[in-house]
Amino acid sequence: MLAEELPAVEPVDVDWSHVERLLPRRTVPTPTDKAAYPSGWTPQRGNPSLPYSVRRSVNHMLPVYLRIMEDGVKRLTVVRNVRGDIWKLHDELKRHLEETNSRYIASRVNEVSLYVQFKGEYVQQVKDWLRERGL
Amino acid sequence: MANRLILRRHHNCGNMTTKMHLLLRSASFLQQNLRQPGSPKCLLRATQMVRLCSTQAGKVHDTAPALPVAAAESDAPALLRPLTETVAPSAAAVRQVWVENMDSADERKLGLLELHPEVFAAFPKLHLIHDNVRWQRMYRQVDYAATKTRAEVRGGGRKPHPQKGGGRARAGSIRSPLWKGGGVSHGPRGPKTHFYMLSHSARVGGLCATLSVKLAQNDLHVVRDLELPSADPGLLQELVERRYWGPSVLFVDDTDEMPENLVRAADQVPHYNLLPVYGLNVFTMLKHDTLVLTVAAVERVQERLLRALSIHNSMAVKHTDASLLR
Repeated sequence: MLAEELPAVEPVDVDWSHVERLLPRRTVPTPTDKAAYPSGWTPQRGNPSLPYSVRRSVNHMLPVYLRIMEDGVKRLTVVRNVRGDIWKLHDELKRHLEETNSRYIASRVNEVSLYVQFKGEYVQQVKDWLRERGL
Repeated sequence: MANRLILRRHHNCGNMTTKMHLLLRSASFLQQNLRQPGSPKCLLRATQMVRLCSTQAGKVHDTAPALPVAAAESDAPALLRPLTETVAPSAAAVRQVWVENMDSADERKLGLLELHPEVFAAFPKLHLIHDNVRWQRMYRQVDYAATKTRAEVRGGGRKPHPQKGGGRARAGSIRSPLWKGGGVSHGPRGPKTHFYMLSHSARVGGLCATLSVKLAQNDLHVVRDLELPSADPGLLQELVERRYWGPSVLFVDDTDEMPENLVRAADQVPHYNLLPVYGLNVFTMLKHDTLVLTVAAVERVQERLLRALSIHNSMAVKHTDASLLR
């Protein structure tokens, strides 16, 4: 077909927003600001008075995880990506957990990989403690 | 390393004017570079700072306030206000580095550049650095060792002697692994690739850790640009030696088209190498004693790594395993 025989084209304004909102995002967006979130999630406020902090995950979540080993027998609560004075965080958190649970809790600090481990299942208590401090 | 630190002198900054000049691409950075009391300023454009899940670096007396989530954008410090960051890095956490000149062997400090702590002050996670170096070595490794099994060794189809009556051990084939010249039962089998992909977060973390290590050990220098006055390799060597930059130097620019004089001079010297930002990797950074980045390269590296830190592993670009391609 010769160039002269091609049909004329005209730009059409299409609203692609309904398609764009379905496309996956490459990066995790900032959560919208609200007074309270139904899930109980709290954003990180930061606490300059504390000598330590934890880095939240890519999805803005607290880096507290439960490791289940030995076919469910061994349960470890891990707090990862601790910055600043890791021993201070360990001491204060351990004291809080032992008072709350009225028992001795074995724990471990890894300064090279920046995590703190507690023997037992205390994920929710640790998260609440961190949230109280705005971390 | 200690010797190098002791010998390093602070050259007199007689040429530096009181007002800090930075001849960058866009002149708007000049005004923004002046430090106002109490608020951290950064040369990076606000639009280029992407989301980062960062916290304070653990200093007790931090004066910079934490930012609430996307609420008080107008209250945020002007240039450290990121796109999607929850809490901005505190003033104490931000790292500063001199911007030096390359237009003469004499060292002059042209200004200060502020660096984001997530990229340049990350904790030096040695396991990530090791993982990256190992991955860079192993993913291209091919083992060509191969042995033949008893089926592949020439011959050995016939039973060498009857089952009974000879006084000898029973045998079905002269190429059994028990026999001399026989096949290998559990040997290496043909070319084997050691290709694997390290996770996105490990690769990004390794880059940040290595950059932080280089900066912390005084092996990272920032220059305004890489324009040399002449293509004389002696001049470049004199420049490097006078500033006590290591025996091997890696010059990093943001594009792969480098100034001609530098290309010609560095070509003569095998331990001065040039690299664009997209080629930056942990192995090369550790192999060279000193890294010299341009301001544009620092900007680009920071922008890319900050963006990469906010990509979840599941959304990272997938590199197909080599075996699946067949």
